[in-house]
Amino acid sequence: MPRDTKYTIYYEKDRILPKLRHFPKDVREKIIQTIDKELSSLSFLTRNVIKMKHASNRYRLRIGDYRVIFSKNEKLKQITIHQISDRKEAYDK
Amino acid sequence: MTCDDILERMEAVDSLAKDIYPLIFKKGIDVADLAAHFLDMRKKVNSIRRSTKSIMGSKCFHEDPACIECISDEKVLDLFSSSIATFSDIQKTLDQECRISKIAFFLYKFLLKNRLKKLVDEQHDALALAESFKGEPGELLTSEQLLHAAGH
Repeated sequence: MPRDTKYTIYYEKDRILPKLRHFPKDVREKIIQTIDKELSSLSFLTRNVIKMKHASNRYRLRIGDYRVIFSKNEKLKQITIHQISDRKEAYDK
Repeated sequence: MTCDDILERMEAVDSLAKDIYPLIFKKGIDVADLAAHFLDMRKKVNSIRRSTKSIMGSKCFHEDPACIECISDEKVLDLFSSSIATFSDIQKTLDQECRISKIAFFLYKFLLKNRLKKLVDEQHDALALAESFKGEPGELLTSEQLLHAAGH
């Protein structure tokens, strides 16, 4: 995949928004900025992105203690963010 | 098995992780207790991996017995001999009998801690993945729309 390939990024409102509201404002901005930066010209060369082993077309971007689960549509050049999860959730359950 | 079932089982692992982390940092930790927790957690994580494999139809990782990333249960049990009660006892044993330096012991402790962290990381990934399949996909927003809706 060429490194300069541009993707449009969309977020699933019902899954992402309620979680995002719980994050501090600066964290929200950092997460969204990092997603835009890392995924809009998705090269998959960043070590923070891995393809999930348990599902087809699901990838994970790591931003510090946060995990971003997304899928991509090559035809539409579109990335859909399905989940943003705080590491704390792994302990708070 | 549904995603809800997987999430429910993951919660059991979460509670185990909550038990293990304070133990790692606790002074005078009971090593046999830690080993038991560790093995229990391993079994549950492996069980979840198998369940996830069956529901999502992809290959399950770390099931290869030759995988060098995995610490075998036998090796863990060897290291956590039941006759040794605490880390300080292990330290003495290593110093006196094996002539292994404190650095080696702390290195092992460091590696174990990292191994547990890795397990929690994998669990976090699996949890986020399972949640990403829950429910129906809804309305899509751009970054600006999302930040605006979140109150920016």
